[in-house]
Amino acid sequence: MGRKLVLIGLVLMITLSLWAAGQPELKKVSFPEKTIEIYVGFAAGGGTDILARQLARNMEPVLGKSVVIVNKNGGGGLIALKEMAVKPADGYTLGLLLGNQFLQKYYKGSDTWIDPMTEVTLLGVFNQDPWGIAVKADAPFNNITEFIEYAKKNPGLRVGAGSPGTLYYWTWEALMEAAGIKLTIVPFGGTALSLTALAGGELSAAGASPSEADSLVSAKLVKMIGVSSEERLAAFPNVRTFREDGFDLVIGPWRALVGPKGMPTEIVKILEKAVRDAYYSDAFQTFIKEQGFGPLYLDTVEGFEFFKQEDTFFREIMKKSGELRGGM
Amino acid sequence: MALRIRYNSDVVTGAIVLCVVGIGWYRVRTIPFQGLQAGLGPAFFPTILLTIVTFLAIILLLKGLFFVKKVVKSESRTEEVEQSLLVRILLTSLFLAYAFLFKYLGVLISSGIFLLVAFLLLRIKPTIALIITIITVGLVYLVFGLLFRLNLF
Amino acid sequence: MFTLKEILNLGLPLVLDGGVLLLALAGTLVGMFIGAMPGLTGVMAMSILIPLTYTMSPTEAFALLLPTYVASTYGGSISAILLNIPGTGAAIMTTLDGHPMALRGEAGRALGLSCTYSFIGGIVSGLFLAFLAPILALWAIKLGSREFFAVAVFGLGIIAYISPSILKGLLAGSIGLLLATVGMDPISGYSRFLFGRAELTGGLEFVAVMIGLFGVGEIMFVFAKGVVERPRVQREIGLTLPNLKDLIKTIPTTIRSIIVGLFVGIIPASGPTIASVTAYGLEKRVGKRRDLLGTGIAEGLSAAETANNAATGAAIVPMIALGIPGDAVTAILIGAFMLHGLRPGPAMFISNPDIISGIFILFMLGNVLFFIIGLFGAKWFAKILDTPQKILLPIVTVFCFIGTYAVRTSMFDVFVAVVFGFIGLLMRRAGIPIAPMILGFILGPIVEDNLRRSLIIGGGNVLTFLERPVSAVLLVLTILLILSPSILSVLVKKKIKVNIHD
Repeated sequence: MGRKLVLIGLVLMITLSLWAAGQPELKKVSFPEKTIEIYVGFAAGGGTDILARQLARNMEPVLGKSVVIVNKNGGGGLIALKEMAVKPADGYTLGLLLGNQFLQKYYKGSDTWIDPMTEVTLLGVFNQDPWGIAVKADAPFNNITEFIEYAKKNPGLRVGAGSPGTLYYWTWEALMEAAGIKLTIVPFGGTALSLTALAGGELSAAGASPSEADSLVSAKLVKMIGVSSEERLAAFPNVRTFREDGFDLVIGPWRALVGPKGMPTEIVKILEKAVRDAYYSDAFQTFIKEQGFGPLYLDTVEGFEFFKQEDTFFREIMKKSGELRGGM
Repeated sequence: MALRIRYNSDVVTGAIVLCVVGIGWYRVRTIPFQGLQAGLGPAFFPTILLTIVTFLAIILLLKGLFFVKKVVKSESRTEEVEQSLLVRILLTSLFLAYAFLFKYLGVLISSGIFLLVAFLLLRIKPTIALIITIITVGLVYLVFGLLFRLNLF
Repeated sequence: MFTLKEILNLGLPLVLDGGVLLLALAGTLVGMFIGAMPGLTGVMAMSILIPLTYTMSPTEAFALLLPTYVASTYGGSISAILLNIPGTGAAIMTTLDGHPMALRGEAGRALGLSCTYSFIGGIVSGLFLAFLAPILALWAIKLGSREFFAVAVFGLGIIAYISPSILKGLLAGSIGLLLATVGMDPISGYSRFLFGRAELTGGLEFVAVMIGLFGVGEIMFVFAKGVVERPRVQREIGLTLPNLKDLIKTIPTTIRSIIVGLFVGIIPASGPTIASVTAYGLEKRVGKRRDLLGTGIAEGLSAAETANNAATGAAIVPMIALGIPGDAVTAILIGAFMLHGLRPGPAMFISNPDIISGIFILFMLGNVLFFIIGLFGAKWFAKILDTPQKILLPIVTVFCFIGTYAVRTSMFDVFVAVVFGFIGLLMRRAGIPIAPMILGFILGPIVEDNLRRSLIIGGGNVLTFLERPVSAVLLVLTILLILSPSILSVLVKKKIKVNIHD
């Protein structure tokens, strides 16, 4: 009885695997044949969601099928990624990977994480927002060097960021490390809240991208003393870069389109091209210029090199501050 | 008999809460404390709350065990209950079944099955039950599927 | 800042357009429907509608979104009153007095009152928004972690008062506070009580917990007890037009609740739910008939419904004036601005005064529309009570499930709702009140985060709370108000004793 079952099982398995082996041959012919879904781990209407929708819209003409956004918010994008990662690697379910996924991988405080190096297939990096420093409008410093001078004289300046589970916290750590200063990082539930606290006088500085701080800048409550991008942003030509002031720090949150691991090469190629064409489309370029999103495009090869750098960066910085997860 | 169980509901509640709090105490050990300057750390608040809940649960338990007042039950069950105990248990557990069906069969089919079974258990005429089920599921599809473009699969 | 004339001159031409008015009507209806549906909140409705506004003009987009927002805050009270299931978080306090009223056969009165109070709160906050937004925003921005802590502690103080048994109320409240610590700690980034589930990183989903405890739990309780059709008297609808006597009698409560609603609403990361909790808590302490609260009196409805709608306008003040998103709703509205290439903030008052004026008018229009529809529809909504329970309850269950699922298309949340349904069932059996638990769950994170953040800001000094005037005053007031009923009751008892001895 038992032997018979085993035999039947074996035959079934062989048939199944033969059938499965035959599958890619069929798929190669045409992709996509139906709607593609992108799982976005942030609420509709937020910055990431709006950017993703813009990308999806401009991917549609390249692919000839609709590309829709499915919002599964929570956990800094992790929930959507985790759900995406267990879907079939057929290119119909994609997700967004953000810089903080590397952070969660190494931060000892986080219980769950996804490894961007092994658990997903990269399809293209399509944005990197600059990180910048906003200070009160009447602060006695106007660029990064003056800020560092001031911080050296006044150790323990209060600066606003997210929790150590988020990227902006570690950009401050990186700055302290690079400049040799000591700041008190005050964690907030979001950049908007820390900017409000800055304008209200609870903080001396807050980490923010120029577009996040823009409305408070025009209200003359805060000013930007610099951004971490390589060049000045088209939307904010008045905001200096750190590099101009002799302080070399290029850092900032980026976004990439990914799929489940083990996607067939043909489908990766098609989707990579779709991301590239969408990124360089006029509509997308105008949109990111107007809204102040930072420009960056990396294809799968460049992107993977970039991932490797990010991986080392976060591992090192966690190690230095004693927050590295055991066994990493 | 029913009265006695009612008395002990405090004891049962206290005991259940203590068990759950036990898991909490076990998990909280791995979370670190920090000093005042660092804002007390992630373990501070849960620990204080666990202490309070444990304390309150023990009081409730003791109260239930030793200080039972002679409470006259305000609503004695004289009113007719149509459903048998079995049906009532089935109805309550139907919620769990619905959640599982929801996951594996999708929103529309599972809702249809749930409605139909619930109506039949409540002894609504099969034809009426079927009609209401179809109308409700149709409405759900129109509002959530078509209008809100929710993924109902 | 604009004058009334400027607002009308600039805004009316934009709003007085067939398409815009039709969208506003549609938004109001969608908002009321979504608000009344257990589990579907205004935030969700707006995030669903946002993609539809891609192709619209900015005015059209806001004609759809703003009425949805204000009408959903009112709509939540409909199911709170009729079914004892709050349609949105902001209607949790409405169940306490609204449902007992409906059980007495005064469903129509309750619906009419809640609609009127919502309208009053909404209109007043709309006026503040239109005429004082820049000033209010500059003042609100000065409030920081220490002030938020004081406000949240004040809200927390009411937990002990809204339960017949203080012991059980405190137990439920502290368990609620404990449940709120699940997820990633926003100060240290540490995961707490995750049990390895990524879905819990952001904490237990509020809608799932609320719908579980109130909706699924209530229905399970009825099923477990056996479904008995309501006696005729409980199905009487009664008058639906608000009784003028009720309104006049509750003027002090209404004024207090408007002030609380505006104040709490303007605080970033706060909003209608906390506004109504705080206003109800204040009523429980200073109201003339505070002992009758919870038995179905107009003051309870006034406190809850005036405050939550007064908070709707206040919550968008910082966004309009300074471009800062305070909560989920304003974050979505900012998204709507961005979609159309606009940036809210002071610059917009100069660059697009017409759109800003249009927004003020649309906000008011939303309030007027839901008031009219609500009053005339009340009789019709109340018909829900005529539906036999055996048919109504399974259908409501389906909507509870789908509402929970729809928040972020998560099956996990549906299971959370069912688990909390069982917890709600057991709590009802054991006589443990539900409301304190959900209050603890809402206020817990605000208390914890702001306490710890204040300590970091104050360099570890506990007295930092007394350094800022607003927080010092608020904290002292809170302590006085928490203590006052007990002090009062002690004094009253003494007086009675003295009288007896005489």
